[in-house]
Amino acid sequence: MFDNLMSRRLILRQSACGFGAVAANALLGSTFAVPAANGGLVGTHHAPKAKRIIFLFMFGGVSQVDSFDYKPALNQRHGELLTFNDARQLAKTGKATEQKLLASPWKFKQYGQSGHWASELFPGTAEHIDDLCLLHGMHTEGVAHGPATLFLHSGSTNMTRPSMGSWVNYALGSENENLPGFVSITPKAPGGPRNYGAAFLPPKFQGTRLVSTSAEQFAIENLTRDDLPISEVAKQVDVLKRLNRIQLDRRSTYDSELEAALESYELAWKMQRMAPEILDLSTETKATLNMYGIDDPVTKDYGQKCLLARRLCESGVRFIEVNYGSDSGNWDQHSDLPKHADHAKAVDRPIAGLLTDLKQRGLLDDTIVWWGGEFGRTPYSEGKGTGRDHNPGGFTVWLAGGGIKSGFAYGKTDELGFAGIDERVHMHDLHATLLHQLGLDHKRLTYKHAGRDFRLTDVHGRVVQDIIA
Amino acid sequence: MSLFSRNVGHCAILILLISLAFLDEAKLFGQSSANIDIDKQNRFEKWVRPTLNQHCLPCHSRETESNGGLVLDSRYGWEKGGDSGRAIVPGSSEESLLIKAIRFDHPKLQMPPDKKLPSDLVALMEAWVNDGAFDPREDREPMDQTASTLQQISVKEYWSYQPLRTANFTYASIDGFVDQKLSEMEIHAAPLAQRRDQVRKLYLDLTGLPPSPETIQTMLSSSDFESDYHELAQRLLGTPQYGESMARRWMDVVRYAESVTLRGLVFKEAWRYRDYVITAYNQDRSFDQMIREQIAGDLLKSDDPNDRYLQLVATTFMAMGDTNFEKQDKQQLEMDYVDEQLDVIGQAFLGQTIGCARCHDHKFDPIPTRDYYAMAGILKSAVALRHSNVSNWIDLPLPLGLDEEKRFVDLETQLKTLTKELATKKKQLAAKPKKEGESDGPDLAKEKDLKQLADEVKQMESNQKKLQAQVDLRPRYLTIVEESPPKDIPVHIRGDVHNLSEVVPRGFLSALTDDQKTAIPTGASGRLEMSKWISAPENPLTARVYANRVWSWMMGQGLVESVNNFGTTGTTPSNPDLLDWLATELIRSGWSTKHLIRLIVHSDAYRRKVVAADDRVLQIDPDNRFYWRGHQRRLTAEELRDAMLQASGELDLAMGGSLMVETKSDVNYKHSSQRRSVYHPLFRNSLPELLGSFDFPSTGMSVGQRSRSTVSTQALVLMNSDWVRARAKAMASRLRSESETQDPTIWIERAFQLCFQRPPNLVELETCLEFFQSNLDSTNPHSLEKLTHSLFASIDFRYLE
Repeated sequence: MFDNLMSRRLILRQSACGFGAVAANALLGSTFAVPAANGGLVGTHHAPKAKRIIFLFMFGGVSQVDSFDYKPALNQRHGELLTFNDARQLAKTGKATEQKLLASPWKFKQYGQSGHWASELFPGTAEHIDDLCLLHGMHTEGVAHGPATLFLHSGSTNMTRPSMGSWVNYALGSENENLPGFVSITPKAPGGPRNYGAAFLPPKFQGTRLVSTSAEQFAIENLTRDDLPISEVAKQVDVLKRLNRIQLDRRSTYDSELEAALESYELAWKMQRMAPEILDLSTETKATLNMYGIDDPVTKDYGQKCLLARRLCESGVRFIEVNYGSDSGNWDQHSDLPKHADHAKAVDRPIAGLLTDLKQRGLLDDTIVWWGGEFGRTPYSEGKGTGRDHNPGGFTVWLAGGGIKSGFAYGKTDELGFAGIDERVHMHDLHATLLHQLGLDHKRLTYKHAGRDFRLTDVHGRVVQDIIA
Repeated sequence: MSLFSRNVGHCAILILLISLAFLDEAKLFGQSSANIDIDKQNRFEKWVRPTLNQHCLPCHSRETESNGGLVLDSRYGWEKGGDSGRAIVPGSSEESLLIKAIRFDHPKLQMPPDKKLPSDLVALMEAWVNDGAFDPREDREPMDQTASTLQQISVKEYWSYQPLRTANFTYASIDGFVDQKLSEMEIHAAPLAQRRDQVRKLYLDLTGLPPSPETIQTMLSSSDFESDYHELAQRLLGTPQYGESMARRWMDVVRYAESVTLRGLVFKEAWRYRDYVITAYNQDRSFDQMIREQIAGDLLKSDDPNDRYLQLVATTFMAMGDTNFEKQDKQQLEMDYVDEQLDVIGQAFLGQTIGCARCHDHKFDPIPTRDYYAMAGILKSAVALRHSNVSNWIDLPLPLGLDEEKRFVDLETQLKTLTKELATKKKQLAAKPKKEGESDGPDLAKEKDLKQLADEVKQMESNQKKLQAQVDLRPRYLTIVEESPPKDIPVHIRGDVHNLSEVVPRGFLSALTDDQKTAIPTGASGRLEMSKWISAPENPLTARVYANRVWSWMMGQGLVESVNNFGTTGTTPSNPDLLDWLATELIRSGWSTKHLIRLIVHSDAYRRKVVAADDRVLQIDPDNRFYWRGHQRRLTAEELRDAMLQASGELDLAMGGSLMVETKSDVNYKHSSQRRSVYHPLFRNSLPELLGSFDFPSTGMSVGQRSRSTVSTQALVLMNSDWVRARAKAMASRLRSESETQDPTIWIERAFQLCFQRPPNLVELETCLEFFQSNLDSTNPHSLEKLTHSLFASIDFRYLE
């Protein structure tokens, strides 16, 4: 702890990673190997195809049969009663139940060169169909939002485990020392902090929450203060720094941890001045704002978040989650399926804008955009009513960029869109594949806790080679 | 295929067709036995081998993986089978798990996992099995089944499973053991820290609060520091803040929280457990008793109502996990619940990672899966959940004095009667009015009567609400309930609740159990026996784990650094004799925590100065595992928060009770009290200010040692958070109101005393004065506020010397 001062300071600087982690090596001791050259803690296991992930989280569960998984048979057989292994009933009673098929109220058509189908809910996204890789055979764990949302984020429906962003942050760190490596934009889903938490990984790998402070502004908590002009804050920071230096010199011994504490102030102060710029959307051109739908009150909110995601991604953040949906409004249409249209309207133009923007900036090459919910919805109506219940057994997720095949569809559900039957991809598999693209082997990305090595994918998961370009 | 019923028919027909096709093929090849062999050989090579190679072996062979313990690269492999049993029964596709899996019949057993094989291949495989499962592949060496057992026998020799050494120690004091190690290694111990630093550390360690400037002054001028120091330690052990500070440490270990993350559901009564722990530490309740109370307090007995109260609320320990109550597979939920309990019990008391044995025999420690389910059976024999879509936890009414009990019973009876009557009236109201004169009851066809009835219902509903509110006032506690009769449960293969194996009799860890002594009486669940087995002085783990824990709380790190893991994947003790001596002292003193703490804080090892190592020592003991110097102590999140409140003069030292403002969900909860941090509702979705940023542990698991991070988010919080600014402001007004003159020098000196319990040195004073001057007007209230704020944020506030 107290050896050569210069070399220690050097290590401190070099090991800076994550959200102002200034002394990883010194503080975490034996937990880690020597920091990798790229500033990350583990580094990559193989050459990466992607550097970062933007996850567009559609909380509540988008219906696959109303969005991207076209099922003409469902429309033809609307109203028929059939027996299904409904996931909720199965979990509760172990029995199959009779359900009434519900046709999609939306029209589908084919788009692009690839000719994949999309419904009229997503006209904007559909224009990018040749950039997407549609995974129609997704399946996951958890029938209720809580468990499934946790599973989506952390690979476990019940235990407290690190979220995927934290694993990535732990492995790779941030590309920008003024910014955190993992940001979740206005997370509101059940599971709360666990969805972006570090669990047993060191706390610095937890996601940083962006909160909205007004209709136009987003902020990292405590990043700034509004009671003083910045010139006054600077004066105070100056006296603090001087006092810190005197206090450090008063002590008879050199201590790397105290040195790190001092550095943390330098870094915080830098961040305080730099980060707000990145979060400030007012410098964007009108054309860009319009592209994201920020000019329209319906799309403004999600548009801003998508634009923020692009700015964060450009600035070197590794994992950005752009949340859509809260307790009061999300994709969870148990009744009143037509409400899906409101949600689609709120996100479609922003997502299309994001894809266009990433592409024209060349960012889509090494950024994976991941779109999806915690599960899908049933092709039959819930309780024979006007909505659809949760369906973890078969649903659609799409990916774009980052070395994933484009204009490609993989996997399928049965003719009614209920269960994945072919080229199925489990959520563990998706996690494994995403890590793989980042240069990480999901079996080797481990952390020792409570006597054993833990992984995001537990003892499961396989890399879906078929979707890799 | 299991999708909907019609398809099943299709598939069956398909299978039939393919089987027929095979019969035809067989006919073509003729009937002689030699030909049949060739036929079988052909089929195997043409269809079966490629299918196995392509679809099964990637996850089930010796070269790749043996998922589920199953390898399919030879007859031996499938005959032996995996965790779920034999994979293939030649001649019977119906009894063959492999066929079941590739048929995708069972929602939990579907192979290959990504995609069902084409139906014709499935049919071919079925036919192959039905036809005797001819497999010409070379039988491989059977896998060595004895290896793990052998390893486990030797693991039992591991130090932590050895009986505690209880006599013939060379020394009778901590320093004896420590100094001996140091002299063996030729390391010179650092001198004792300065008086001021010793006193500050003692205060923080024993109460979680810094001392007052006056206390420091008295101690600095003491003519007999040794005896005054001892006296001070004794006095601090007697303050109520001692229990609060110790309780907070234990609360990390038991993942204490007052809500669950999902839906932010609130445990309204969990605070009683926190108060139990505080009381227990303040009373110096023997720790073995605390173990029994936390695991099985409900099954203990006491005639003393206070004692009974403590026993009952202690069991909240078992029910505080961050449970996912809305998990729909309730069988799975129950086993997850038990798993979480076992995990905490194992780590908190035994330093064992029992959870590792849920799916397979523990890979490193002598804990076979059977042991896991033996203990799980005990816990499963208690009810912790009442199921509905979102299952409910159990909270029970606390026993009351006779009069109070009667009052509540009466209220409940009234409520019951009223509810029943109300239901009848509502039914009448809802019923279609009959023709005039037809009804026996009130004549509902008459508008007047109808209105009267509606009014009556309204009135009754309001009464019901009031009564309910009164009934709700009855104090309750969070707990689990013993179910009878207790049940043994089967081993769950790979931890899967839907894949069960042999039933295991309830019991404890076999590596540490003398069966004769620990037999569970008929009719008992074994939970009480488990608590006794854990808390027995003969258990080699428990006393060691707790003595080490207390040591780590005072010394900054454990003699065994992995305080929650005494298994073979943990670390070994840096001073085994000292550890055993401490454990023995713990037991000898009647499991007195205060006794251990007294021994520790009196020792020189505890009181040493924090110094730098020279190059030689840096080679031998860079991490101070042998305690040759002081440990760099810094304030925990709660201590930081409490210290700011103390310096600003706002700290409210009231004890106990719930601060919780009634709320349905813990999300966005606003904490507003200026009580000590330990008393704030510990909400998993809304931690009190500062806590989240300063290494407060995850409340989803047992934490023995908090992380120690230094990151810029902490700096941002200290510089910018509203809460810290408000404390700085309060401290500024305190300084102004306390001093008669408006002299910045006096303020600065007092501020340093309140924050660091020392005067500023000349440079510091000058720097601060300069700051005032640069702000032009030293009477500007903001200047002082900015200064106090800077002191809070400075390193001396957070790091002891």
